Amino acid sequence: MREEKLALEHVTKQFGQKTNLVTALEDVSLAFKAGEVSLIIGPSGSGKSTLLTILGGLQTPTYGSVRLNGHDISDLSTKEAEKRRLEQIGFVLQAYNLVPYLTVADQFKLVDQVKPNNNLSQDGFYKIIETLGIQNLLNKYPGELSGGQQQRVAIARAFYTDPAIILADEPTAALDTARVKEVGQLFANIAHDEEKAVVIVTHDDRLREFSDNVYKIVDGKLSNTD
Amino acid sequence: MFLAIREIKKEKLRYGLILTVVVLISYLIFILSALALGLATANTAAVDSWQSKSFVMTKDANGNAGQSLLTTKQVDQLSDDKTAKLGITPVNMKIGGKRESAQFVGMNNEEYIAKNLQLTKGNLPKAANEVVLADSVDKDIYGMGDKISIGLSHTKYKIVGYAKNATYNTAPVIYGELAQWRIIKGVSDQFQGSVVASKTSQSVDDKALKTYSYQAFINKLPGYTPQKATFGLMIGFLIVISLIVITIFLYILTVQKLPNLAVLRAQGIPNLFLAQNTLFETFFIMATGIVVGALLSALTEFGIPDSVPMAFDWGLMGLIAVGLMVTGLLGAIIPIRVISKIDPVSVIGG
Repeated sequence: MREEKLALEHVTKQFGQKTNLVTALEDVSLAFKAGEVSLIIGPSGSGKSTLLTILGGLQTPTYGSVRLNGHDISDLSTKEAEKRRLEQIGFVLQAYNLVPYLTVADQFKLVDQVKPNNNLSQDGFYKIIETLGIQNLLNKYPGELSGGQQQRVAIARAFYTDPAIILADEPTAALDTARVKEVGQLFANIAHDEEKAVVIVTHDDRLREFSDNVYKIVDGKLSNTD
Repeated sequence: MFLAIREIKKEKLRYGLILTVVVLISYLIFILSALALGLATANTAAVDSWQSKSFVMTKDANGNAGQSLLTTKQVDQLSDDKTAKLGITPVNMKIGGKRESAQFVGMNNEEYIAKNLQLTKGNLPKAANEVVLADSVDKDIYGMGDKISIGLSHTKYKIVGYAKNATYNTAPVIYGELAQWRIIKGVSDQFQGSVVASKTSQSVDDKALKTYSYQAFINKLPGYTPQKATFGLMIGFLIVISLIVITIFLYILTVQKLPNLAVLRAQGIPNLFLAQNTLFETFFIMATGIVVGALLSALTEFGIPDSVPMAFDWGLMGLIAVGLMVTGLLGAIIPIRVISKIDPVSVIGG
């Protein structure tokens, strides 16, 4: 049986008060396991991004609880939540992933500055950048890279801290079909080979073939699972 | 530091421009301070060299030694072995066709002020028609042994020496015998001098007289206090301007970087790390700007003509540099606050 890495239990997230009360997520329970790629799909405004921010400890649920590696993280302080994110979660976002004035190599050195230990070994690092085909881009600045190259560097950057969980927000939005297949395969390989839990929030149906689970969110509710 | 160094290295033009502004502001502040100090010194150098604690003059003179006339009786009442009588009056000195404004200071060679006078060349006046000039005068015009006319006196005065630190109210001082002061000023012999200086604090019973401390005497020098206040205000405004400039610059830079900083926060990069980088960035800009500004000021000191009264006190410059640095670091408060308020959620989804 696969180990549960991240789980939501009866999570509800509400914004505003009284007549302006908006329920972004309603009674959502989900579990993400090591070695699996999970897609969260749904129309715009369905609550996917809210779900991702709660999974990443960027927001706390109004009701319910979030468990990371078995520990409840629903009510952590900002500092503690930052620490958990840095050590256990790798974020891949749609844009602005890379610091524009750092070379590709420096994007990783920045991580070493704030988390000197338990990052990928040198072998692990070279393996990942070779897999992503960015080994020749280490001295380039993000502005010198194509959208696809930038996204691959961002993925490598997310893996660099050797996190147990990868959370990705529309990671293939800027990529063509060939590149989507590469990135999808990469997420699948990493989840399966490295026993990571990969959670991808996306509109992109092209990623379905690489996923182990697909969850659909509509109007803040988990509507069905594949 | 890691982010700051790389950002400055990558964005050379952007940081070069703000550095130029900081260099110019600090250069201007240093030059203004040197001018203020130079003018202050030109006002007070002679008074400082007298090493006196208090000065008595007539009340009606309102602290202006050139307007004070002390009678023989008043002078006799005040005189003891710790006092020195001085006759001070603004004059024109003439040689050939040249005229120059100066301050004649008549003194007694036996009293402490004359004894303490530091001569760079020559000797104290030994005869009525001998004078010592400030060594800041142009010696090609006022050469040793040359004879000059002073004020209303018909006597030709021979230059027998030059004195160090001999400017009073920005004019060069002519030291001569006290008796000559009456002739040069054109007053009757019932007056013995204009000021009685003392090494100690003096108290006077005569209601027509007033005692001024060293500082009060300096502050009463014509134009000295408004000049000092003007320079002080200019320097203060420049420091405030530097605060505003650095704050605006850092604020704009921070706002431009907000999406990237939000991603870094989402990735778990601590707030403190980002704040420290902004603080280091500010420190780097200010320190480099101040050092370059100080170097330019030092170079200016060599190139500036003697007629411009500039004085560099590196201790004072150090204090100003510290003030500028503190001001710059204060300017980082708003950007750091902006960073601390970044909501990483803002970069997720849409």
